[in-house]
Amino acid sequence: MERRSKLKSRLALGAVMAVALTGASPDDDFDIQTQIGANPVLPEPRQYLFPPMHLAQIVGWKSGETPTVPAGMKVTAMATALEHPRSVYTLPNGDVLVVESRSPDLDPISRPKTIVMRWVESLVTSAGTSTGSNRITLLRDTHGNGTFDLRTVFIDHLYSPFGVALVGEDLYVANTDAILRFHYAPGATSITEPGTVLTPLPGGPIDHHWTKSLVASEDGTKLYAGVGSNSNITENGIGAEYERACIWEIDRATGAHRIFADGLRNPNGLSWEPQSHALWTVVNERDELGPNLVPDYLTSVKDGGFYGWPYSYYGQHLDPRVRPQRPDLVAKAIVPDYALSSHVAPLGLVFDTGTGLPAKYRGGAFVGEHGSWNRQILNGYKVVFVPFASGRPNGMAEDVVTGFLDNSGHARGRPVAVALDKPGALLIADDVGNTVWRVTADPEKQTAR
Amino acid sequence: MDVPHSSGATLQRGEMMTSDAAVPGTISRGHPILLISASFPVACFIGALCTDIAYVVTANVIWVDFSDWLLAVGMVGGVVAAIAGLVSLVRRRRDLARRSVWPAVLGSVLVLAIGFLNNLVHSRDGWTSVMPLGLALSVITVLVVLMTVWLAVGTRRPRDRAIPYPGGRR
Repeated sequence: MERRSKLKSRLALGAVMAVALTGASPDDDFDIQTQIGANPVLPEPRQYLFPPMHLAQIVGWKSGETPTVPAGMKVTAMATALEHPRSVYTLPNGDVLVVESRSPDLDPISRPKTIVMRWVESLVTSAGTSTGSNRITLLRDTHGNGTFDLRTVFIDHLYSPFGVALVGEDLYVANTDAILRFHYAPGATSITEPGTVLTPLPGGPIDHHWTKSLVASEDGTKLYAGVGSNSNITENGIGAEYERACIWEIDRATGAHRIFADGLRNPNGLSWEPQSHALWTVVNERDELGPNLVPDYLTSVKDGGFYGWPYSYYGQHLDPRVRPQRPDLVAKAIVPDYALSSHVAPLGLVFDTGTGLPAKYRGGAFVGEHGSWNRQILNGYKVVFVPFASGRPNGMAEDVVTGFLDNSGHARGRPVAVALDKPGALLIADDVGNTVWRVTADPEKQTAR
Repeated sequence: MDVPHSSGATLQRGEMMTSDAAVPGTISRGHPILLISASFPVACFIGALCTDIAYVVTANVIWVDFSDWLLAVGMVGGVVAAIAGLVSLVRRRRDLARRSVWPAVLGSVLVLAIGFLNNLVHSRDGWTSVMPLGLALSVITVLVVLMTVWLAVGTRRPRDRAIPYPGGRR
């Protein structure tokens, strides 16, 4: 009996050791530069007992501190003391709308993990304050000198808004659960009428990825809305993913919608590429397959295209966590155009179509990277530039706006959406720094570029 | 139910039902907290094996959620029972002299160790939270639970082997 118990315990200990070994992770000599561009290196998926997790502690911006930009540019705080600004949008008259938004916080506690993850997330406040916010603030440069001296509450009492699009005098705001239409009179500084619902979007009862990106077609007949998945990798059941992880095309006249493209886990920053006039998006890929899987990406979006989630990533790389699998969908999964490296969490995208920045940026894409949690070495927490030529990415991404992390790895801010203002400056919503940053060419140091 | 009591013939029998717990052999004079808490890991870890199997058969994620909660509650009950058992052992040192106590103690520690690992594996998302490692650990946990019960009961005199059943025939 004793011998048997010894045998049993040895077997069990052996199993324990095996688990511990498979869980061990050398973190990590991996060169993340190999995951930027069209053909990212994809290591084998790894699963852990404790997934690698590192969240930058939030310290905020001290007075006078700003992000860092390359020589030839300068950065200023356009508006401070905002409440969790996540998105920016420029109106035709030059007024800038700042969408201040907080998470609807609906994820039910369906398993013990939810409790742990909520606690972890509470450490970084990426969901926003529990009160206030959920409004749009208007900023106006009344003297045309680059100082936005007028600030008003433009639309209040929204529900976790993110995307904004103006067509004529119809202003559309994507709440997390519906696209609302407001009448916008040019020059208005506030709208008090309640909006009307153009079309409901998938919101509760779970609403895991809640930001709904929005863009109008160039002819103004259609709206496109990014609708993120309701889970990391279908752990809430495939039924919770109905009409999610996709981009909706909405008829502006009727509100009717269809799925324009699918398999995009969390698409944000929907934008029109200026040369090809194709729709582009940045996408947050899945977590918990290792510090270097799966690279988030920037891609053009094809009508009817399927981009893999949840069944596969980067074409036909199967995700071992998804059952039942769908070989029919995997077979047609499109490889995205441009990898941005793993866990950088891109939430903002804008093409440089203005003249307010150094000429080298013209036509390329700025990407706001909110920053990682699912790897030990922080990645993202910056705005990068992806050069474009002939409507396609052309060359290595480079850092443009950095310094969101201080020297000890604490977060002073986290960039979210990016936009251009009327003079062509780059605007960056910083949701934990509660600031909108404005990056312009610096005429005094222009020679550096 | 006559088991959670602190002395007398009833508890001599109660010992068997509860000796599948964290620290058997001490339970006959154990505290009711030990008796109650020790039943959680047994029921929950066996339950988690059942819900794991249900998930593997159906691929319906609701079964993984069941497994996750069962494993978590089993773990909490197990830790409470282990603490109560340790207190009991320390207070009644003569139990320590009984060699027959130790295999069951070791078994209980193993159950907690593997149960903890299994909680971590089950915290993954989707299929690989169960297949293959989660299910393997669930099977091993249940085997060690059964082994531990058997070791504890097997060292008793035959007439004590009947496991009292609440409300059933004594």
